[in-house]
Amino acid sequence: MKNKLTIYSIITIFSELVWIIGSLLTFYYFYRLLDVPEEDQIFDVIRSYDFLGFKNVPETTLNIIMSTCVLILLISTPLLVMNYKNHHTLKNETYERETGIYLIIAGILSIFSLNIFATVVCILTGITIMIKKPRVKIKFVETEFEKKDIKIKSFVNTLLLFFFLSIVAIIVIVPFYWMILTSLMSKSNFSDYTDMNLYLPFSDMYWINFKEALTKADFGLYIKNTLIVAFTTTIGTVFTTILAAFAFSRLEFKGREMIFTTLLMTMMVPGELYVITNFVTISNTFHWYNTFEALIVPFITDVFYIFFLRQTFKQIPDSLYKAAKVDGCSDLKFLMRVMIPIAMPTLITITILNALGTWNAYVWPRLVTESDHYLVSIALRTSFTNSATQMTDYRLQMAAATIITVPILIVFLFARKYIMRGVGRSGTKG
Amino acid sequence: MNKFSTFKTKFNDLRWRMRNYKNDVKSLITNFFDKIYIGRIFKLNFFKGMLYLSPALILILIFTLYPIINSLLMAFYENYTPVDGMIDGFTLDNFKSVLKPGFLVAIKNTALIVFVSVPISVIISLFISVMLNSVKFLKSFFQTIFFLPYVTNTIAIGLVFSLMFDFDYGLINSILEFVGNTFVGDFFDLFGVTISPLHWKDSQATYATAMTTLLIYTIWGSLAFKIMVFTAGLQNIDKQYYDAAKVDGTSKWRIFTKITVPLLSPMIAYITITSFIGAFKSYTTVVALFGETGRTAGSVDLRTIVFYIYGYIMNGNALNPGELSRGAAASLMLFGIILVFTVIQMYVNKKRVHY
Repeated sequence: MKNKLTIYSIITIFSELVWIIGSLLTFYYFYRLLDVPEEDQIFDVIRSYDFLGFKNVPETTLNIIMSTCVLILLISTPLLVMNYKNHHTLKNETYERETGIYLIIAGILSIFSLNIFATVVCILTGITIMIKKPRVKIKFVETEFEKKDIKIKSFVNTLLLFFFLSIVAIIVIVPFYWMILTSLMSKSNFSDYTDMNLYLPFSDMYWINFKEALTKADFGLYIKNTLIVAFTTTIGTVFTTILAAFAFSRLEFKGREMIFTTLLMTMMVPGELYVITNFVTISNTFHWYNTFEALIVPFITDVFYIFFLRQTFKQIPDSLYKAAKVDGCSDLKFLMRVMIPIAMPTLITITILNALGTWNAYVWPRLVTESDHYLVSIALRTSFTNSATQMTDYRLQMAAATIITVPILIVFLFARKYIMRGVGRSGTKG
Repeated sequence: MNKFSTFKTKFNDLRWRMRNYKNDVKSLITNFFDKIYIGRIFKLNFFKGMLYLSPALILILIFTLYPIINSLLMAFYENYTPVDGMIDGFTLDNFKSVLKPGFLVAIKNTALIVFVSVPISVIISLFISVMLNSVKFLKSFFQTIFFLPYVTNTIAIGLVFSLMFDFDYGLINSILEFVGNTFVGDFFDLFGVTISPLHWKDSQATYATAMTTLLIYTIWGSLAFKIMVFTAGLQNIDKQYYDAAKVDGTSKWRIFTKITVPLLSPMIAYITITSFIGAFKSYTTVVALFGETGRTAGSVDLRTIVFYIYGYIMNGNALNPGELSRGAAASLMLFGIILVFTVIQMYVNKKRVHY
């Protein structure tokens, strides 16, 4: 029943999974081990640790081990995802020659994650596929005007194009790279600004900075706050949006169009106009100043999402609704059983965009909360600047910035399709 | 066994009787409501629709519709105290007191951001998306990278920029110093321009350098969305136009100006106007680079209009009588400016700018 390739791919996936979990656990073990340095230390202190029977291991060794773990994670996780997607094509034998080429490249990449097992199996699978699907040669008849110099010209053009695109890509990437680089520097490494540090060796990556940022500035609390607010608002938004979009798209009642137009009109009004009154409502009418309610309640509905979901609901044929009605299905049941499963991609988009919005929120949380209810953006802005000397601890600030940026990047890379779909219709960030 | 069966029959009997009671009560209530003509409401479509709408609608009423009306009124209140809601009457003084010299500086800053960053970023993103559209290999890879600035936290990346433009530790100054020591620096020296580290945003920064830093960050952050919309628009252009141009041997630049730009013009107009609106509301970019004061340590003022609106609420200012009214007046002015652009957008949308 099972062919050879399926077994190979299962072995690869399994070995990569073991590798990822192993490196995660190792990283966590050493992260727990690290000691946060004392307050107001100007110079680096070389610390040493005892673990698993080893005595007086210097911190640089720990740094090398942890950096290797992160490197393994960075290489293995995308490969695991790709291999998992490929597994299906291998199982159904719908693979192409390109799959084989990809698998060989993946095998070569696995060498860098020190996963020899996966390397061998990947390259073996790739070669098997390449043998099974030989290259099909199609010879085109060269026409008169496709001369050699034109080919060279187009080649040079493509090269220039890639050159410019790469430059723009580098300009976009540089701030992220700089952020991660600074977050890993030691104090002496950072203050030695006379020569440009464009990279760090593994032994100089100070992972302790992340622990310092999380504990010293109480950044863990702010992450917890943000997660609470993001989770609650997202659930609330999805709930209210589904009900409202259903009413606007399926139920027939008087005044429906009028209410909908009014809601659309409010989208044109800038948010700054209603911030002032909302501030009075929240702090004086409801007495919610510096509580979670102030951060959650105003944001558990959004006109744009209602509009967005209504468009999706409208595409579902009306005959489905009528058929369900004939069978004696109630509206709510129809919504749960038919509409929501069909509109699932849109709901995922709404969920991700809403969670991202809370994660990046700055203005409103700043207005209605004080330091114990801050969200991550505000904490990032205020926590790492010494109020007396106005000096900023850039290393810790960048470590915190990395902590809140990397999850977003991971979510974006996995859910790119959903995010771009929703953003295309939403307008500017404001 | 026998005992249990008697219990079971008793229990069933009880259940049956309970159900009868329930039905009796139900019919009693419905009859009562039907008699006084309320029962029909529950069967009305309107009631049902409202039931589904109510969670969203109540929140929108409280937090969106009511504030719009209330802010309109509040801008005309005299000595409004938010704690007890007392007012002394209605005046136009709020608008007058908003328009002090500081606010005019804010208008100038905002106008600079709007009218410099938006055209530049539209043009750059147009070129990038045209380039992106003509490659096949690695296209989605580049698309993913170019979209990154949109999803990330404005504050976090703004702080990174703030570090990159730092005088001592910054990457930009390192590059400037490096370039200044090579032959490029010598070449520029011939024209009397020395390439050396600049005070971008610290206490010795001038208005020009601080503004340049802000503009660079604004443009960097706003490219992502535009590139995405433009690449989507370019894919919808009919390939026939390009094939026809190819047959005629048209040059690349001519194809760009005579085919791509005219066919993309609705998109360009839409993007330009929405970006204008967005740039008028710029706030977090300034906070990320220069802190909540909106000024450099050398007191170069970079505050925007929105800074003024929030300035009336923040740091306990809201409790002072009349402050919130001034904030409302300032936000009404911003609304007026944005309304003009919205009207232009609706007009343009109707006309569908084409060739």
